[in-house]
Amino acid sequence: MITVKHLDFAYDTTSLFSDLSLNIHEGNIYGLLGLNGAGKTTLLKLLSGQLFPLGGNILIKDENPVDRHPAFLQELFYVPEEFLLPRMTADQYTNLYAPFYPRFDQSMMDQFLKEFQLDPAVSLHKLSFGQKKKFLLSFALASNTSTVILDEPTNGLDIPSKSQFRKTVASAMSDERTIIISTHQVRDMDQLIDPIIIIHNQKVMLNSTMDELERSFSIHVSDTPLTAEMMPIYCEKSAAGYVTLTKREDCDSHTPLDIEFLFNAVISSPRHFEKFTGVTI
Amino acid sequence: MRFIKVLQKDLLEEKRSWMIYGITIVAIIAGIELLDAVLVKHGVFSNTEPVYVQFFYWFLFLGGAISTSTTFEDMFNRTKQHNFLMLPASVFEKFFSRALISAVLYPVALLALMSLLSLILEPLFFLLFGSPIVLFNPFASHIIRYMPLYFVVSSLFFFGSTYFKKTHFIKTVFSSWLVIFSLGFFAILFARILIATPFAQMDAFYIRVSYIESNFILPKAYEIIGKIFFYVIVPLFLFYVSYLRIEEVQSTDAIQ
Repeated sequence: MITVKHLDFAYDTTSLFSDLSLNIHEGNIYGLLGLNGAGKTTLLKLLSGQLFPLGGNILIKDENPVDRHPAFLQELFYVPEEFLLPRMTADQYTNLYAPFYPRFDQSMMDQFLKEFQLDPAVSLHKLSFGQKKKFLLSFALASNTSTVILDEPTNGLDIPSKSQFRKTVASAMSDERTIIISTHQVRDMDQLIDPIIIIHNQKVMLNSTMDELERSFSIHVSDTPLTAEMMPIYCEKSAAGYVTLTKREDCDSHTPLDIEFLFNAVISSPRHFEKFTGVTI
Repeated sequence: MRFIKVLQKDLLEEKRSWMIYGITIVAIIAGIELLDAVLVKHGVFSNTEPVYVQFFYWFLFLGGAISTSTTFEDMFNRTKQHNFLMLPASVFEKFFSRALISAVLYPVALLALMSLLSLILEPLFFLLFGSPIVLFNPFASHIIRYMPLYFVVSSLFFFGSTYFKKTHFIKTVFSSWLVIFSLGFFAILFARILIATPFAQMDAFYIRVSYIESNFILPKAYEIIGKIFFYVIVPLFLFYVSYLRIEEVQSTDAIQ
């Protein structure tokens, strides 16, 4: 369980988070979404202890990330968007770093490398950016840490690798594990991320499962915009016509929601999603 | 033991750099020794003094200072920083591993390399050119007595590597000179006030050292205290401040 309470953070004089609260539960692959500059990477760095909050507190399994205790660090793996790997082979890297993670599974690592078509004997500095990313993702998932943080993991991956990425992440998931994925490429994460967290204007605008959302909202596609009586929350014009989000009257049924559409709806009409911020402090 | 793993990681990650540095030392020493031996054999000059000792000082102090300055380069590098911060080891282990490498393992490795080099080159040049065999003695007093000084220099550049985000070496050199000049200025000012009478007979900033030496004989205890301060307190303080700096480093400290 990850708990963020009344978090404040600013870069110099620019405030990024003000009184932000968030709960993240085990056994889920969370998708962290937000506009450019909303603070997704900053939030991930605060969660991993690479940045220190100016106010409020963060607890990950009762550990404060700021302390950077080895016991905390060996239960959290962070894959940044951009990184450099040391000049050594994939095997050497694994032999050097795996002992720091008590539950590291070599057979999982071999399996993931095979799935991503990576040779363990190859020098890491000779790999392309996408291949390096696949290697670090494999290592992160094979480390079996209880929390895995992935910042834009599909950036740099080719089309088949994106699909493989989804399969690999899903296969490495367990009830004790929490994976947080920050991304702009929501299509790459289709069917993978659930619940969804949206941060906007220094706050968490949405923290909810897709099931909860699909039971509460419905999508209508029509040739003309819906009338005010239908109480549209958000409307977008697409090739198929007017796509409109409305509150669902019949809570027993649900239709699939497109994450990109949902994101746009939350950003433009945040007040309709207030009860989905998931904060119970 | 986790510390050993951290040390192993730090050494292996920099293996290539250390190897290039070692090969450079070997090439410089072997080249100069070879040139010396050839020139002496052909009577160009008669110098038979081996270069190991003088080059040892250069590599120890200049090479050591430069390599120590880059110790925490990854801590301020945007694309490498997460690797340092997120490594599951304590701040002390991360600090101590690198302090050990720069303050202890580096001079020991340099002594070993110089000794090995002289053991190989001296007999070889004796056989080839008839040069006298003069081996590098790592236990000679003129070598050993510089080790405490290296410890102080190392701690200073170690601190510089944690304090400055880039161009660590140059900034450490300049800031050290600034501190030394400031302290020197205040020392002169203090001396000017303390020993005003003899100053009246001197030029503006000229101090007759002989006067000070003959009139201000400090007890031996002061010298011991001074040495303890310089060789023990100062480096330990600098290492401690470096440790605190590592503890507080954040991703906002990383530069492009």
